[in-house]
Amino acid sequence: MEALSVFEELRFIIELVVAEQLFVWAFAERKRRFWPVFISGLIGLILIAISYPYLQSYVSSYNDVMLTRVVSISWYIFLVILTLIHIKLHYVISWSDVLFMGIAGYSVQHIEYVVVNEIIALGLWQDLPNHLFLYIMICIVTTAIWYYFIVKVFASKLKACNGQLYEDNIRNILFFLMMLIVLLNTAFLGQYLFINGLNNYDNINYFGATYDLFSSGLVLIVQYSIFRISNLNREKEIVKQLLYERQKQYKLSKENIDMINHKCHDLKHQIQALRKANSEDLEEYISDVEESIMIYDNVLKTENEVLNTILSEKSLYCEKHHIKLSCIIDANQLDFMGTQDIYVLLGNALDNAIESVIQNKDKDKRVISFTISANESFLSIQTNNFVEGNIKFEDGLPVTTKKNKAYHGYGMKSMKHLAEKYDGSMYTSQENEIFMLQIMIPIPAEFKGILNESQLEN
Amino acid sequence: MKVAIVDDDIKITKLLSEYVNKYEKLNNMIIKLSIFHNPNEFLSSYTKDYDLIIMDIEMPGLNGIETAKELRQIDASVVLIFVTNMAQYAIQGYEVEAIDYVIKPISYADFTLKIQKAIRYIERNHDKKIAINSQDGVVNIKVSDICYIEIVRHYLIYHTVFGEYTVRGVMKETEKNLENYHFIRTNHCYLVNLKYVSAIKGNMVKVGKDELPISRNKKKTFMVAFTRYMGGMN
Repeated sequence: MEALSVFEELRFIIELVVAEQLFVWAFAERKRRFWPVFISGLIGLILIAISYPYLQSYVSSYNDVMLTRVVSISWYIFLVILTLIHIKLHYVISWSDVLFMGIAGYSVQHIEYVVVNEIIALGLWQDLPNHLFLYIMICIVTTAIWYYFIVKVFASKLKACNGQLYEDNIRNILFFLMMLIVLLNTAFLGQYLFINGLNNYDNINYFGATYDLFSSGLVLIVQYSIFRISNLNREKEIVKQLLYERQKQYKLSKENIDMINHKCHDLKHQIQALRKANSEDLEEYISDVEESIMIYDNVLKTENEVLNTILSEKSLYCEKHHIKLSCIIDANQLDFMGTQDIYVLLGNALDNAIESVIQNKDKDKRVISFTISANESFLSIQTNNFVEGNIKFEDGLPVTTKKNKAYHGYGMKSMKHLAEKYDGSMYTSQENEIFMLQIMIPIPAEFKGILNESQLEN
Repeated sequence: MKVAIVDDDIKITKLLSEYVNKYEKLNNMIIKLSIFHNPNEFLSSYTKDYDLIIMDIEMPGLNGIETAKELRQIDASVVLIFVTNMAQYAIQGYEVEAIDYVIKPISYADFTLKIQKAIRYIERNHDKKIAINSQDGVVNIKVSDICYIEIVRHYLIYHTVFGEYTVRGVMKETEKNLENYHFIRTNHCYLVNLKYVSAIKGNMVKVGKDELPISRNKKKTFMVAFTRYMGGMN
């Protein structure tokens, strides 16, 4: 077998795998045994790829042009599919995203192929492949430059996707499968036009290559704009959420300050009265003063600073709006989570309950129960509150209705996301008039060990 | 349902009994109510058939938290709700596994929310006895004592807290029979009692002392079922 034909197969598979890696590397999370799977997979792919010349010589012995062509096309489709499975094996990634990245990778590789291996090596400089070493060097250098350019353009966009662009559902998978089929067919058609339907390179048609180049380029541009749009949407969503949070924080701070001002004002008058009071009224005035300072007594204290911050702002707010908040809290069990995560998870859980009960017309039903407890290995966070009307649920989350759009869904989704970040899960439901939210998170064994030790010391 | 109210304050026990009666009527339930004005008397006459204890924290002599600690020595699983003047006293109720508290002055709405939560957990913990035809004859076991059931060819192995029983049987039927007792499949050969799940790590679940595999497509359902179990949601 000729060294050149082996090189061509080798070149194809390596260029394709590397092109796909350009996209997935920055995009998806690598699995635990990444390198062993990647390398053994790559070796397997290479062995399969370089066996093609044997297959080809066997098939061409039938002297059937159509058969040769069908086998050749199917073979490359087969290889592309194998590389996609390879990606799925060593990355944490959905099938839709594998297809998406595969399409981008194939386009990049194909542009390299059309320019260097078709236009130059088969057209303009047909003698080049005879100087194998030079040919290999040109392939390596041009590929490196072209791929570097692609990384520069795409990498930051890919990173911003957080490992998921499309989730697996029939519609997405069919869409990308179709896109892949269109791309592969365009590529084969382009090659067919390039050789003008002959089996040799005597009568080359550059229109074929140009067509191929443009169609692959088009696919890349479309992919790029999809990234841009999805990133823009994400940013918009984040900005919207931030603005909303700021507004809420401002409202809360203002209400709290107003309340404290009001209480201070009362206190001033009470102290003045105290000064003038005779001994009989003294007792009454003192209890008035005590009552004024009570607002701070109602703020619950736990052993967790983050939780105390949340509880003090929420309980002042609850007091003002006549919301009864009861908390049973085992605060020692939270520290394995990051401060930011605790704040968002628990803050959102309480905010959701508060926003919900404040809409209750019956003021007696402004009741919230908030419980954090833990057993040997699981942390449980639960809220219960009254709601009026029936909430619709989908996949364990309340569905935001037109009537109640108040960012309900967003807070819920970020809580669910956080619970899942710690390998836990979240579920909500309604029974009679009561809305329940339950979060379950496994407590890391190492953390539990440290906790038990520190408790023994005390 | 059998409920005990423990409070030295007669006004409070009266109010709570009214609420219990109201709740009972509105929800078509039968609640058997016992009232204790003295925590020591409550503890000395305690029987394990109570479903729910409603207990005041601020009592002279033995306070609610201390009473609950002693109660837990006798009965680790009865559902407990506190009554309190100050939320700060009750916040550490988790130490005696109280599920919640009502704060004075007690409103009916607050009471309803808490009692409904309590009933969820009471129903979650309900139990039944089943008879199985093991190789050593018919054995009566409590469903709550089964950790998990394993299928090996045509035999079901009941792994219970008291040992293993092997029975000829079909998993599907058993699964249906235990449907309302929070049992869930982790893969084609294990049916797990969520009560005994003590760790979940990757695709393994620890049930009692044994580690069992969860199949990929059952993992999500399992996580949801377990989360709902923790919250007493059905």
